[in-house]
Amino acid sequence: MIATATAKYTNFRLKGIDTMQQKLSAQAVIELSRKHEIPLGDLLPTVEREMTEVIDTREILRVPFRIGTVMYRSMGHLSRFFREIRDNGIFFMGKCPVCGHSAFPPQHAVCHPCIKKGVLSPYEYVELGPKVGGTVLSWCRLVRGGSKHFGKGAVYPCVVRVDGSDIALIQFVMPKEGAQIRVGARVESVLIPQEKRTGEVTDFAFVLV
Amino acid sequence: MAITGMRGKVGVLGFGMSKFGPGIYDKDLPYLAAIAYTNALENAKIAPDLIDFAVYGHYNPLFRGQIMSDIYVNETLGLELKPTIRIAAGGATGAAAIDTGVTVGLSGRADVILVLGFEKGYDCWNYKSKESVSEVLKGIIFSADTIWEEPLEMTAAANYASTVNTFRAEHGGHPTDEEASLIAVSHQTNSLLIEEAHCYGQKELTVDDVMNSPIIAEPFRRGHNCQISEGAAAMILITEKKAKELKVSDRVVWITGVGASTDTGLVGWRPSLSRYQSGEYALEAAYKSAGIRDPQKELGLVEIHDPFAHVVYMALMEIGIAKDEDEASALLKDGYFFRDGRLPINLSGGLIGLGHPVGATNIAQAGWLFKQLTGQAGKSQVDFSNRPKVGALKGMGGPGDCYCYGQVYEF
Repeated sequence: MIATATAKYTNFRLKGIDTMQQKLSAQAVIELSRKHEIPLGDLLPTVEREMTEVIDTREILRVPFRIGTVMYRSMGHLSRFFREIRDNGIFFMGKCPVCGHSAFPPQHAVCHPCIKKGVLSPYEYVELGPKVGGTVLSWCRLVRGGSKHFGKGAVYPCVVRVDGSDIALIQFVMPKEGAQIRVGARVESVLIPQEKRTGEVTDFAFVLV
Repeated sequence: MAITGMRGKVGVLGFGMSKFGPGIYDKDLPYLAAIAYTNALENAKIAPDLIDFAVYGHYNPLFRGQIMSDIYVNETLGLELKPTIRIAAGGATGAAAIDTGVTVGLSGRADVILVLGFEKGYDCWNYKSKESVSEVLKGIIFSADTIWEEPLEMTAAANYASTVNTFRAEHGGHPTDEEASLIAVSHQTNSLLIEEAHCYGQKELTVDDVMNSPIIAEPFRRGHNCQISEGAAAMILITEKKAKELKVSDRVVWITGVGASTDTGLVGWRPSLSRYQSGEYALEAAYKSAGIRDPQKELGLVEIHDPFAHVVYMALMEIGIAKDEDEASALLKDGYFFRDGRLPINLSGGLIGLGHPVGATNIAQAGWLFKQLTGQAGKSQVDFSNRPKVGALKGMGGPGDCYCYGQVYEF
């Protein structure tokens, strides 16, 4: 949390205690750490760097900024889709009661072919069960990346069409020894352990069959 | 698909840009914009009080932690109290800003329009890794749908790579690694003749250099990738009526064709995952309004949005320059699209060579079309005695690369 430490330290300076212009003793740094509850390991390099920036006027000065705080977004009509996966491990598909268009997942709230004709028809939920199969329509191997649930390293965000759906979604496909992720490859869903599920798209992925 | 015909004409009277490069730390964003602006005024040979509308292109407020940077740019330029608007359309922001500027001119609402794009990605900084790129990528990723795709870290590279991989599966493995590398080398080499370019002063790349560079998102290698740049680019647009009044019509490059199309951002809702239909529609509309029937014959040069070299190969078919991969590969191999070829692509260097300060990029590409067509391109200038003085621009961007803008420039 170096950024946080920097912010607090800058605030400290703004309070009028001009520690930036002088070398801090080891004891002073320890006291700063205690006073502002900043881990010593985070504060030390921060102090050194800030001192360097002040002393070396050729280097560009950077100051920390912070936008907002942790915020929550409503999942709206998708709440049920994600709650069913998080709590019950069950997948649902959107089905239009007017034209029968099927959408896994029902990313749009209302039927796509119908709204093109000016008809407002919200998708209805149809239960698919605890496992869905599908086909890879497009693939990518992203070398930089990793995700909060599936770890770091290479990841494979792919476009997958779930059986019975008229549309497709981007989702991770997990590689498998001896099998290649390619256009046309068959996959099936896999859920992350229930205690780790958060009600987001990362609660599930696909694996090669 | 609706194609809107153009009434009257709007053209480019002047162009100017700042240096494009990584981390221009001694100048803030409004400063870079002011450099591009004054260069454009000087090039157009007009006084600032003639400007009666400003269109600003700025993609991502997260890079600087500043929402609506255009306000501070506008007042730095001394244009307060003029009507202004800010456009954001991902990578296509610059092309979208030009599109808006043309529309403002055609509407009769303004006669002299400033179109100014700018971006400063390196203002975001990761103190732990001591670099900007990871922070830029974090800023970009919030363009993806925040429920469905941002959590999967669908970066621009991942989006483009996905479409390219499907294209390759359907087109016999084209573009090959070598073909894409050839395109990247051509664009980087072109940029070495332009002092403002991100790559200016760098070593000329070879196909081997590119093919030996590491994979970042299969099939893209580092050498196929665009630059992350800072910079600004400005264009002065003028209506036909005003150009006559000021007696400057002979200096104006007319924008005779415009077209735009926006596809779904969630790519799974598209009927095809191997092509950019919005690109086909945008250019078809632009050609129709410009009266172009055979782009390969009627165009003299082209600027294509090239975030990754492979996308240029795909664009050859989208914008009607090659009918299929056989023709595209043959033309590429023959040097048809190189500096000394019949139809040079990205003499500006494109995103790969000139650089990619997002809001400014397509404006700079269009600006170099203007410079080439009017003989102002300096060391980069090509001979037009055997080629039509007509250029086309294709800009694209946004989640799933959904936005596309096509424009035709004639002198």
